[in-house]
Amino acid sequence: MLSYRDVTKRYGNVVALKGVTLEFQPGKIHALLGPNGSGKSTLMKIALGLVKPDSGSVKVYDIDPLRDPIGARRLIGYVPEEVLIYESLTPSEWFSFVGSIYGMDKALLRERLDTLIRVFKMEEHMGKLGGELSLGNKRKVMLISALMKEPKVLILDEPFSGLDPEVARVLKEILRRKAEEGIVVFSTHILELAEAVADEITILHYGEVVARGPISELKGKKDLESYFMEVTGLSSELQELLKAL
Amino acid sequence: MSWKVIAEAIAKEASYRAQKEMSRRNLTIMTAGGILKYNIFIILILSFISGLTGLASFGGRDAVLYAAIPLFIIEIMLGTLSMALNLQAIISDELLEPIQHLPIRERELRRALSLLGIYWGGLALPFAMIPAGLISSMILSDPSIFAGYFAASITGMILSLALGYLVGSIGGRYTRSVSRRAISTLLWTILIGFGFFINFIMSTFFSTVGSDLGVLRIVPPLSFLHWDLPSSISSALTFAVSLALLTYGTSRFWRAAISPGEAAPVSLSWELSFGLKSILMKDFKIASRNPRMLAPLIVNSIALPLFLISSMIRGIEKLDIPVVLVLSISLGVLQATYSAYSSYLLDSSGARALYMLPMSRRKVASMKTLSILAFNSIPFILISIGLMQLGSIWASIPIYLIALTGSGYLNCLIYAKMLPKEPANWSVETFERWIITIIMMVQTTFFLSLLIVSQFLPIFALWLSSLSLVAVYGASLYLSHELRDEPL
Repeated sequence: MLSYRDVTKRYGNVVALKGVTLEFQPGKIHALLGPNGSGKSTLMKIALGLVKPDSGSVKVYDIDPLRDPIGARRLIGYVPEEVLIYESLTPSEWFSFVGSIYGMDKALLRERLDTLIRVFKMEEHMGKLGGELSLGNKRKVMLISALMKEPKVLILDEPFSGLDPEVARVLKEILRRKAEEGIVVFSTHILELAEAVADEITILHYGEVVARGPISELKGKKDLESYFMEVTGLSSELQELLKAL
Repeated sequence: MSWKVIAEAIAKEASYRAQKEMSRRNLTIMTAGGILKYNIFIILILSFISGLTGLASFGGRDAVLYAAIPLFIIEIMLGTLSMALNLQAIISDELLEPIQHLPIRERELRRALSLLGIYWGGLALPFAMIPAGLISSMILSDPSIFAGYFAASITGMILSLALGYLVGSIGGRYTRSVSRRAISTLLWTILIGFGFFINFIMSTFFSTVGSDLGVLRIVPPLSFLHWDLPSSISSALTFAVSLALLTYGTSRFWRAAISPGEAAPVSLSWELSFGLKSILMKDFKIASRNPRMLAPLIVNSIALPLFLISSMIRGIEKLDIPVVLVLSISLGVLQATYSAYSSYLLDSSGARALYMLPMSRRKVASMKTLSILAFNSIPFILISIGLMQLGSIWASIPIYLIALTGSGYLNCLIYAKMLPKEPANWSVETFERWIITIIMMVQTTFFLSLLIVSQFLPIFALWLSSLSLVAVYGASLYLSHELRDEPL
């Protein structure tokens, strides 16, 4: 279980998270929705101990990432929104390094990588330098390095951006299978994607949870976009923006 | 004035990406005061060294001329070393990418790059010569000496920035071409390592031309200290060529930096490595593909210790046992001191990916120590041969290795402690330059002093160096314990 209790985080005068209390259970795919700057990425980074909250507590299963971030990172496979990659290393060199950090067995590493490289269609790019890869392929490298150690918790920040439809379909299937045995949380701006992939949705707005639950319960008879606009109060703002065009 | 804005934006962005702190982003830094403040510590150190050298003028006017040569070469050497690291930050942090699509004239970009060079250490360079010129002109009551030193120092600064950009443009952003990488690495190594061979160059030169400086009066930097027509023409030409090189170098660098990488046929076969090998290969591959980073590593790991040891071999046939042992300890410590800094800079923008992994700072330091030992394996053999040549004492080799390992680990732990807490690029902007200067200066001064003392008080120097080695291991243990659970 990944849980947040009354978590608050400020960057100077900006409140990124305001008393957020959440629980993500295994067995479901959780989508985090929210406008830019709503606190989605901060929430994810706190689980890895990359960002320390000003108050509140967090648990990744029985590990407190604020006290033991290294332990938390062992459990979590994380893909950030920004591309983090070594420009001068090939994907195979990077995967070798990551495998060593996790102390992965040779045979296991080879077996998992063979599968992931095939399903993400990276065979032809394994000998290229990171700087030579397209944006989509860079993201695939990050996804593979997060997935290769079979993490108990998968946290993905905008994982579908830059992926072609075929690979996006593969990723959806991977998330579905991972959710059967662990926790899967991903963020997205694309409401249709959340609707298609997630079992449960959490909507953040100005650092607060404004809606949470299974998609079917949340949207009722509306479509997800209308529901999202309503709970975030963006409907009227949108009307004004459209008028200004 | 848009070139100032461009330079300021790049400098602020580099600082932010490397430190993830907002402090410098809100400041206007491209003012005379801002640039001076950024460079002040190195200015003070260079002024101290230069001022001491200037005291040689009590030996007469010839001493002023002899002093100008090493100071000029030191200026060029420091300038190119600084440029190698600056350019690495510009390229790996992709600092020019956000502006490459803006309608900016190339002339403005050239100016912005020149200003960045001055901000990132260039301003300090002339202070390798100016204080010496000032003191010499006061001692000899000759203002023309100061004018000459001043002109030579400004020319030296422009020339080193120019050479930096020019050589930096050869490698481009990244290249698969082994020959281009080799040429670029060789050029950087020659430029950066030039100063370490200064004694050899000078002694060879002077043994060829004798004590008659007549031939040299038209060669920079000595041409700047003579006011006859041929010397003045030579000085003016040197200045003009340096400026032209800077113009050419900056625009060539700009084009190379924003050009896409080379499309090259890629092998479909790939291999995985495991365990220690994969950890070592990471740094080794990065270094071999980035000449700007490989060259400082080569110079720090090979040129510096070899220069020290070769000057000892040329000076004295055989050394006493205690002196060789002090030399072994000093070499090991200094070699690791300089390599540690360069090894962290290898990660540059890729370092942000490390923050996602379950790694403690101690683990990072341990991995970097292993890299240093691997990079120094060839120098280790060469130096071991040198040490045997000097003293025929087998104990000197394990002692040298113990010093190299201990100092490497301690320095890597110090840098690991200073790393930003949030994912950030590791570049020259990550570590405060004044802290790096202190770390290097303290260790260099201490162990070079020990080497000098060992000539007169060998047992005392050996006792002190052994004690310092124990202190190095003690400090390593303490820091290692402190960082064992501290996450990256």
